[in-house]
Amino acid sequence: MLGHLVPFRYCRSLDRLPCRRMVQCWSSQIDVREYLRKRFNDQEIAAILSPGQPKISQLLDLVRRAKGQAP
Amino acid sequence: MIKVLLNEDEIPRQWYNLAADLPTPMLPPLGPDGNPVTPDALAPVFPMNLIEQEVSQERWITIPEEVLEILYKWRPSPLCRATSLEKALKTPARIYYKNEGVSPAGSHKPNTAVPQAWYNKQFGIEKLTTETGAGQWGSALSFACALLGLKCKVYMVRISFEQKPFRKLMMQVWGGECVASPSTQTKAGRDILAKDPDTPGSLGIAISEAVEEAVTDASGKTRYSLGSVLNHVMLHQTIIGLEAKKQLAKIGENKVDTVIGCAGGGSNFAGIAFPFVADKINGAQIDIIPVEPSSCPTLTRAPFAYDHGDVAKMTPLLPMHSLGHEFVSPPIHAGGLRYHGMAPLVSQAAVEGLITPRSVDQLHCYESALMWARTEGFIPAPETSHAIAAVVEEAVNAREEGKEKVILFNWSGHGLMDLLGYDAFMSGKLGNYPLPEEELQRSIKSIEGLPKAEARRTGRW
Repeated sequence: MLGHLVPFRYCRSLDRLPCRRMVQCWSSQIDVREYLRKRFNDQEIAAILSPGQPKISQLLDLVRRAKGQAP
Repeated sequence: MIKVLLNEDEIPRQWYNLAADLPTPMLPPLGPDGNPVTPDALAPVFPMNLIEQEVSQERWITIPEEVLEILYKWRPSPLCRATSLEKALKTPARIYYKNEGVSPAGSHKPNTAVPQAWYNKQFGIEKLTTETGAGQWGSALSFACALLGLKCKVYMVRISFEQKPFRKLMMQVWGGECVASPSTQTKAGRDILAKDPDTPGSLGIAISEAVEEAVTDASGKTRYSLGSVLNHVMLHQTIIGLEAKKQLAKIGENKVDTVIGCAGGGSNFAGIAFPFVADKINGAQIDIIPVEPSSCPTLTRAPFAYDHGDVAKMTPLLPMHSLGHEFVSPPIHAGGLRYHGMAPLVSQAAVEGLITPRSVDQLHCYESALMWARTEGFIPAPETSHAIAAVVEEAVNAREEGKEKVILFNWSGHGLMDLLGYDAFMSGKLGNYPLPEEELQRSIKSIEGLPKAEARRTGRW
């Protein structure tokens, strides 16, 4: 999506948690699960590997956050 | 005959809405609370005239004359026959492509940027915000806003902002305001910068900033715009396939065997394919193939989902590089098809069996792109090269089977802003990174016990 070469350190440092696409993008080169297990707790790993929201749901969530209504 | 042209008065005057014809109706999208999204809920980000298109079940939606007046600047786009590639492949197949690289922004993206800007203007909106990674969508929207007299603000992921300056400059030439994300201009951006001033940014942060700016504009004159995934975006892109049908009929090609488009968020594939999916629903025999990268499969392989129990049970099975602190993996090329969501309409067409997804690896794509450039001349965008790779496969199959197949595909954009990707390929810096089968199987097993979305299909295809 970014249109250029991306190092592993970029994907592992996105926002607070690594990118949820890590497994798909890096598993042929890196044992992503082992990497995650050494650095994150179960709850964090579950959040990282959970499926993303549908786009509409994501947008509505962002609207809610932008309006300061996020829990 | 190399090019088939349509006059302006032959351009399709309505978009085609596949939602009206899907044998299994789409379920309404769900909001964060799990309830179906109402049109009003989308009003802070989109104008109501576009929301109506998003939820429409009408088969045909008229293209406003003022939108056509702008589209005429490059539309109808030429339908070309790839005679030089056919010759190089010694194939009996006839290969046709829609050249969407002729648009001012160099891709299919303006096909929806222009109507989105127009509908926003009709609704009284004065400014559009969006996010962009590589910059293809940001430049298309900047172009559309310039022609319609709207302000345009593009949040571009910082790492791309710094590495890909030319798309940013295109936006600025069209009067768009392109800022590196995270920025200091939104609360979302400031919060991120406070934690990590050197962050390279992400699409997630950029979209947060773009939505926040639209939602918090007290004047109510700002909205957000998205270039893929959503139903109204697919709708606007169908002009590609509708034109192609007219052009093929003009030269007596009454039967298309194969339709191909690359698929990330789904819009350029939908654009060429959905009018032919309609034919297939009505009985036509057509292979319709969305092509995605093998490194990031969305349609061709199982989705990933994990619960806490699965995570706790994870054990490494694959013999891989050791991950010491000094480990540095070679970089991957994060092309435009590594998108985080597929259009629901495309996904449902795949579930129904109306389309047959295929994945291709990165090196095969670049090899095919070079073959294309050295036969047909145009340098394709890396995304487009996925479609070309599948076209080459189909043409070779036709040769081996001795069949005179008709292949149509969407040449979705040029690669003149993506030459660094070509440089990486030609200098041997790229590899193939398919998702390992063991990893796939492990992931499938791990989601066996989880609730799955209902696969709604008629079983006709």
